[in-house]
Amino acid sequence: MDWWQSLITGLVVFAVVVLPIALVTTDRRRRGVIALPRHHPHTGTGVTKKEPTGALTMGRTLTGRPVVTLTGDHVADVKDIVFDPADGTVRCFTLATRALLPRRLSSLLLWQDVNALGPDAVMIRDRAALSAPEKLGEDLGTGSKVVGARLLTDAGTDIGRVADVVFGLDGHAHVVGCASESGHRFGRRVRVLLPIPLPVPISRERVVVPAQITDCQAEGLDAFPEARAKLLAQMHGSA
Amino acid sequence: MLFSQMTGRIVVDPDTAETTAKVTGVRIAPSPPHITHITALTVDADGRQRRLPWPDIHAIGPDAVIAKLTAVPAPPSTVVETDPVGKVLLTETGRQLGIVQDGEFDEADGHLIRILTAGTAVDGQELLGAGHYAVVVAPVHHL
Repeated sequence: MDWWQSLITGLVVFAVVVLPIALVTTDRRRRGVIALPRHHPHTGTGVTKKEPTGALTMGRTLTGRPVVTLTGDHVADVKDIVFDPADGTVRCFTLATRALLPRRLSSLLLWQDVNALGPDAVMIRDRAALSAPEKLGEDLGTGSKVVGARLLTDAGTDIGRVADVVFGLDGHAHVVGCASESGHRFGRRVRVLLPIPLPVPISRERVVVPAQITDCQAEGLDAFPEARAKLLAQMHGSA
Repeated sequence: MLFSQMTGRIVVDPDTAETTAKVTGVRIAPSPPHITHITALTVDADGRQRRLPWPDIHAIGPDAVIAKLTAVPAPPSTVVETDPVGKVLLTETGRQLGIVQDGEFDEADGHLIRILTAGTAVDGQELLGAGHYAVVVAPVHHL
């Protein structure tokens, strides 16, 4: 009967340890960055309190960040960052509960209702800042998850996979680039930051970028502004 | 006086001289920054949490709080009342300053003087809110 005991022990370990870890990991992976299907003109007041102009941050540091009212209540965590593909501006955040198994909330946090996007929390005035999904004026289900999409140059070369998105913060948050993973070197994933001059074609499968960006890579956020300036200079030079 | 000095102090009824409760914490609110009430655990067999509104406190002495423990109705659900100690200290711009470890108040009028973390002291005047998750302060003037 030893094999019965081993089987039952194995099932218990799977149910108690492996399954919850797998579910949590899967949920974290589902968080991401969504491009809306088309440009929507919008007028927002934007954040009133902001990080220093020119600050850069990665999308993965924004997802999971707590959304807190000025009265100190935690109302949700950021799940996805939704942006307008025409100019890269962040339109809203989708939200999830904070729990071992987070549950997606139906309400959204529109950018104009964000009081401040800080390094440790997204601040809102109160719970009334959360909006019904209809207020966005766009079906999120039609948007494209950018993280995980393939990066294809306009010359037809696949240069990797979008592993993360780079956001610039200057009173508004907007997409300025991405982290690309292109294979492995010495057993480690090769990841570089690439500036992206929006608008670029974005579908559910891929993002098509100018071929020049392969010459404008940055190893980290510190070097990213220089890479972006180089790309913009090249594009203006070729225009 | 510090929050931590208040916690654990006995509550004595001014009429009967009986020990009725022990202080478990304080609650703070902005506009102006002050202690709204203290919480205390009754020493009877029930051991229930009770609220002592600041105006009902006769005196805070070195050994005891003199106050009449009356039945105070539960706060409306819209009012958030949690102990600030142990909460995240956030600026209104979303920057974490630390974990609230203590606070200083004027025992004469309940005015909040400072909020203390491991490495920071924030002027009580900066308090914007104290909720279940965080104590929120305006951009900070360190003391």
